[in-house]
Amino acid sequence: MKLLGRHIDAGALLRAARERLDARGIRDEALSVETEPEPVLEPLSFLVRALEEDEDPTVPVPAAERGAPASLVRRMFRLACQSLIDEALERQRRFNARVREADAQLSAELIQLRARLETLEGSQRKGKRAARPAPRKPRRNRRG
Amino acid sequence: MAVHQLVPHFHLGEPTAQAAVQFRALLRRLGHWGGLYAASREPGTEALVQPLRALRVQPGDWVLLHHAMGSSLPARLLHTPGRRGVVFHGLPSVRLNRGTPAERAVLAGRAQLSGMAAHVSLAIGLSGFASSELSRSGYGEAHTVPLFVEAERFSEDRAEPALRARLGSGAQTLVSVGPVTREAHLEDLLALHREVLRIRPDARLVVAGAVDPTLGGLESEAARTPGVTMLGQVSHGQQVAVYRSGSVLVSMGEQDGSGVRLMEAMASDVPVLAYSAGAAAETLDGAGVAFDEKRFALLAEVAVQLGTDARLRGRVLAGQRKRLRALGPERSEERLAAALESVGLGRPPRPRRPVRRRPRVGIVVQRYGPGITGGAEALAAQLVARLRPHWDIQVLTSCATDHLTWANELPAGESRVDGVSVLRFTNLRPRPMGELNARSRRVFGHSLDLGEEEAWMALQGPLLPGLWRHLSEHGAEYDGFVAFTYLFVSTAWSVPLVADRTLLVPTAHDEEPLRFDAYAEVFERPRAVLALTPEELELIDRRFPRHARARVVGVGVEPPVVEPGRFRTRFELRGDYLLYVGRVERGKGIPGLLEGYRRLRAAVPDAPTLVLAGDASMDVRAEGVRMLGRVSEADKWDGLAGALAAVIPSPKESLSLLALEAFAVGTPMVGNAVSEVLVGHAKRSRAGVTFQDAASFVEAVGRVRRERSVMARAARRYASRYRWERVVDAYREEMDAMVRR
Repeated sequence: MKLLGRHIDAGALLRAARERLDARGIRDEALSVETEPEPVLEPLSFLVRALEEDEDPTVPVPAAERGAPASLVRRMFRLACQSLIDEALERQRRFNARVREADAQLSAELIQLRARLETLEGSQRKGKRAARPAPRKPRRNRRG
Repeated sequence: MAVHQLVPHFHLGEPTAQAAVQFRALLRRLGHWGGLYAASREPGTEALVQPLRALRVQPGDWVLLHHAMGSSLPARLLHTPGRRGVVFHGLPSVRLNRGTPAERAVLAGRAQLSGMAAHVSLAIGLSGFASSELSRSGYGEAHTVPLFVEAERFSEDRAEPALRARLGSGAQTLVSVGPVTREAHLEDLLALHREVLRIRPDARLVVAGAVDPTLGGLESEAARTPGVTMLGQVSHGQQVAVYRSGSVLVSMGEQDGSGVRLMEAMASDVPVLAYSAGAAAETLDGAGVAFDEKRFALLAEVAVQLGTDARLRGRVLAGQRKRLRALGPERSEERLAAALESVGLGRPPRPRRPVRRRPRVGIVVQRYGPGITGGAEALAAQLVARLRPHWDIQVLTSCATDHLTWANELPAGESRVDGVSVLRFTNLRPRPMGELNARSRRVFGHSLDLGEEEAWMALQGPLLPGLWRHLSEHGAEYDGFVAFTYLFVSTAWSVPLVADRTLLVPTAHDEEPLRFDAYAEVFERPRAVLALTPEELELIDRRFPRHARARVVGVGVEPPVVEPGRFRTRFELRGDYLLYVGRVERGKGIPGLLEGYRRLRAAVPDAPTLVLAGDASMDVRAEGVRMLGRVSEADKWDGLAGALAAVIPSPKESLSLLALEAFAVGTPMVGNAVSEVLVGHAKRSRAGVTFQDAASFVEAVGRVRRERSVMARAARRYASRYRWERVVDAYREEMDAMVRR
């Protein structure tokens, strides 16, 4: 472990701390800390996945998100009225599926178009560079 | 052109709200006006923050979104016209929230962040750490504009005394301040505290901040650990008490995106021991003590050393104080200016033009027009009348005539009053007196943060966004401004926009809001402060020692020809009378006057009548009291000339024009001794007596009766110093110096 600070003698402070620790007969261990940066998410793909997760309104919300007592009441209600609930939600489920399909279709098209645009722009840039006359090398003075 | 800010959920004290309020203050200083808009708001902040539906973007406006988890605003931003920007503090960690109910919201927040990248022209991170996250998320150039800390808000006297006393002890105390989320790593704080307990069995860990409800298990574990105090959400004053009670402030956060808690700890003179991750390293920049591994037993030894070794502690604190000096608002202002400049949002340059014979001057005042009473408003009108021959004046004011409601009674836009151009702007929101009084009771006498102070100021009003937009867009077309009354946001938020060309006439007196640090910029940034009395200047010196150059300019008093008999006949008055002219309301000290007068009548058989002239907002019926209502200027002068004395019971006076007018017609003054201004007038003139309570009021009136003729001569002598020519010369001198700069 390193101590960082411009106004302390970090080495001496750490040495003294270690000595005191040794005198107390304590071995210290470092906690492992993940230092990986947080992920960057592609928003269009994320939204398609998120829509998929919530597509079916008949799937109950996990108990962890609601709390046990509320979940129990809901489950009992569900058991009693499942067929009625399913009937009411079927239309919603179909609608959600269409929205997800449409979003998936559109975002896939958009991602593909962006990639094509990038390729086209890249080749256009390359073409421009190729058409430009190569810069003349400066003539060197030869000695002797 | 305005720079509006969108905040998903506006709760005072939370990072996005804190950042938005600080950014608006910085934007004002850079000459830009903009509103705050939120999808949801904490009750009591409605005047400070508008609902999202009120956002109206005009061509050329900018909209900055403060991004946070659970926000519905990114979609709104993408479809908002105008130019767009994102301000980013950080988002909760995906890794730490995996498998928790918050996981999907965290992922959605990150996807939203990436999704906005291609559609905004300005990306601002509140730290280098936050900016690097922006860059990774697809934002090309991200600017770093750190939040600032106002050190005076964390001084010992700002700590809430009750909590300070409760936490004060000689025990080794680790403190942690800020929301207790997964990212705060309470488990690590507890692990460190347990190790400290092995060295110091009486050690304590104090944690201040709302606990994430999903961390219930950890909270219970904390409650079971000896020496741990979980305070939950605390007020600003309590926060200062926690910092100042600490032996060491410990930060175990790995993704803190602003470093603001470390800055606050440094301002509170507590040594910082922080895990070197997120924005911690760049915030500390060598100050405090940072560590790169979480070895709790070793860190416990270091923490105890920091808390007990006076020399080590002294060195660390000296280093932190030095670092803190570089973390003030100036640094943030500079960085924000650079970020704005990069997108062509620099401060508009002042057009260079030859000095005009008559400078174009804007007079900023909360109300203006015939029949409008009020000391500052009357002074503004008198000055306009006398400076008209010398300046090309435009009055910039509200549509209100009533200072209690700010109701828009006069039409907005340009009109003329006595030949002077007046530009009126509508007030956004009526002043809710009940709510304002309730909030005043809650906040006065307590230490507050900038957001809480600005929430009160906004509630006080008048809210004139049109005026602020006008100043930011057309301010450069004026050669100078004279702004009246520091207290109202019509002036307080106008002055920073055009500070380099503004003369402030604060009309300040010793009152609670003057203790708000938010008013510091109003006194510190203008070109000059023009006080009405030496006492007002002394007060400003004491409260804002870094105020702009200041001088006493006073006012002029020119009495007309008076006929005291006319007043007596008109109002059927016999015998001696005491006269008060002004608003008859509690704030003016009327209840104290009535109490004194009751005592006078009981003690003196031939007590003078007490005559009150002015609009009344309270019941004053009592034996010997005559209530005249509002009287004409001629009646006022006649009345003053014939009075035994003018009575001025107000404890809060910045000038007391009534005293000077009374003196000018040879009438002594009986004034409230709480007002330093009245005491000053009484001492300098030898024509006045002050009173502290009912008993001394009786004595004061008795003395005036005995010495009236001597006092009358002294009064006239004193009043002759207050001549308009001198006042006009002083204003012209200041304006000329500014224009010709």
